[in-house]
Amino acid sequence: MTAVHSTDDPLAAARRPARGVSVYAFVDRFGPWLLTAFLIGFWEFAVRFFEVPTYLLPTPSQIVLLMYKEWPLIQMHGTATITSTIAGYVCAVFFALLVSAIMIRFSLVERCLMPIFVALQSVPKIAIAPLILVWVGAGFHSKLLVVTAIAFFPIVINTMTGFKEVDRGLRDVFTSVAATERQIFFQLRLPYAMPYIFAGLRIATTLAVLGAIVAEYLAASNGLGYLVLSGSFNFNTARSFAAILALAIIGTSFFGLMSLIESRLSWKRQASSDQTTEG
Amino acid sequence: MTAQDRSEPIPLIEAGAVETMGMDASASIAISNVTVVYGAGGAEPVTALKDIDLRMKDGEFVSLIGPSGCGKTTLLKVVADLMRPTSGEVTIGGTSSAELRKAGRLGLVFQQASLMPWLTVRRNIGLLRSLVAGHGGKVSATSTPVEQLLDVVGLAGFGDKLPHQLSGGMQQRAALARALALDPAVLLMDEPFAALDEITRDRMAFELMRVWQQYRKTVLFVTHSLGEAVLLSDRVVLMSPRPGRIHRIYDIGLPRPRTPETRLTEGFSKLVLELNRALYEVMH
Repeated sequence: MTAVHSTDDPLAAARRPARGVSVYAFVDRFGPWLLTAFLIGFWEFAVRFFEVPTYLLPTPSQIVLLMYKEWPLIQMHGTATITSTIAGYVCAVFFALLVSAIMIRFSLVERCLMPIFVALQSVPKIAIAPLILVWVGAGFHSKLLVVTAIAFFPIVINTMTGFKEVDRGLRDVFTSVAATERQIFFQLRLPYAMPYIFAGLRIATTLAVLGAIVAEYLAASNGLGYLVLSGSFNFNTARSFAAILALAIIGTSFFGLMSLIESRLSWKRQASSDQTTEG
Repeated sequence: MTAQDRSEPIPLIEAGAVETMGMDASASIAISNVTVVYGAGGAEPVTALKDIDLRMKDGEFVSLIGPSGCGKTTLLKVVADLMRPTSGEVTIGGTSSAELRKAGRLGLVFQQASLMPWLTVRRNIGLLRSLVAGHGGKVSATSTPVEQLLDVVGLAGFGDKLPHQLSGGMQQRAALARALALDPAVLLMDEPFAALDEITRDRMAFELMRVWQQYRKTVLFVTHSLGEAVLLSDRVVLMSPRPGRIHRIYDIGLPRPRTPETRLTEGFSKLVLELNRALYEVMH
């Protein structure tokens, strides 16, 4: 009798934590999704239950319905935002890499420019957006310039950090065969700096979208930023929400795209002991 | 190929004999009156090396030992043309080391393997050779192909790995292969095994000897391990600090090839003991 009891007990004890672990694993994996779904459901329910007016807070279902109905409009403004964001971003990347390459080649240029860049890095560049609009006028060009100006700095700062931090030992290896400046740049500094450069590029994606939105808030007749603004002016809050949702999707995709490109092009800094056993 | 023909004295290559130096050949090293002063002309110049005079025969293995601050690494850097001496000069096979560095004929191995973390082992080994070819240097026609070098240093099958996937000892093997890929006139090694654990370090010493027997490069080897110096070298140069100068040169007459048993012989222990004593004297 006692023998049966003692074998039964541990079995039951073993089963209980097993179920606990599986629920834990489920929540651990899908927790953010579940919470998001719950919050959206609560939003829908609360707005309907308390009869919140639509111009204050539309329900999620209204937003989705509006997105579906006004899809051509959102698509048109979305394209405008994406175009200026990417154009400005590409400009920023091009100039940032060019300026960094010049600075690392001519140290005098670096000593003149770098302190200015570092100082400007901590200035909220979004504040000069109205001035750019005054100088360039409303339209695509001013948007491009705002995006470029805001995305430029994190790329330059990160790229220079990577260029300058090249390991002394690695440089000695290149020096030991009298490698040329060109070889040192393309085969040592540039590949070495890749993880740093991509860190800058990732930060810049978020800032580029931000720059485009602000430029559109200030003076534009198209773009998702304009759509958000016009929606709120016309108390068409659902349209503003739809535009914000589209912006969120654009920003996330842009960031994800850069991470994908990074995984193809760059190497990751790793502790040397990390994967030794795997090899 | 082995100890017998190595024991004969090999004549120094004369200064005029540069052209005859075949691509596969290694070369003698002549260090003449090298003095290095840090901060010369400043308020407190420090003499790191004073009047260093050392001749190394073609194919000879010479170790530099001495307490820290005696300028072993500085001397190696001068020979490698990574640092200009305040006075004196270094010639390798009659050519200045600066010229040899430009020609990509100096094989260097440091304490850190310093492999490019973004290149596979295979491409790391071929890197310096391609750099030399890329800046107009002549790459030796007889230099060993990368695949064969992987074999030589015991990394066959690891060519596609990245450096961080290798152990410390394997990384040093790759660094050695990278230096050998240049078909260097001399191998200059600065405490190459110092960062490795005792057992790996021991294995690497024998690996190095095996490779050296095969290629018979002139080797200048900086170490702080007396046992390692005695085991590997034809001669051991003991340096004294402040200012760094050559205290004494020891001939290591132990027969080659040397094996783990060599370390059990009386001759070996005697030499290590003698060096130990001399090192103690130098430090006090």
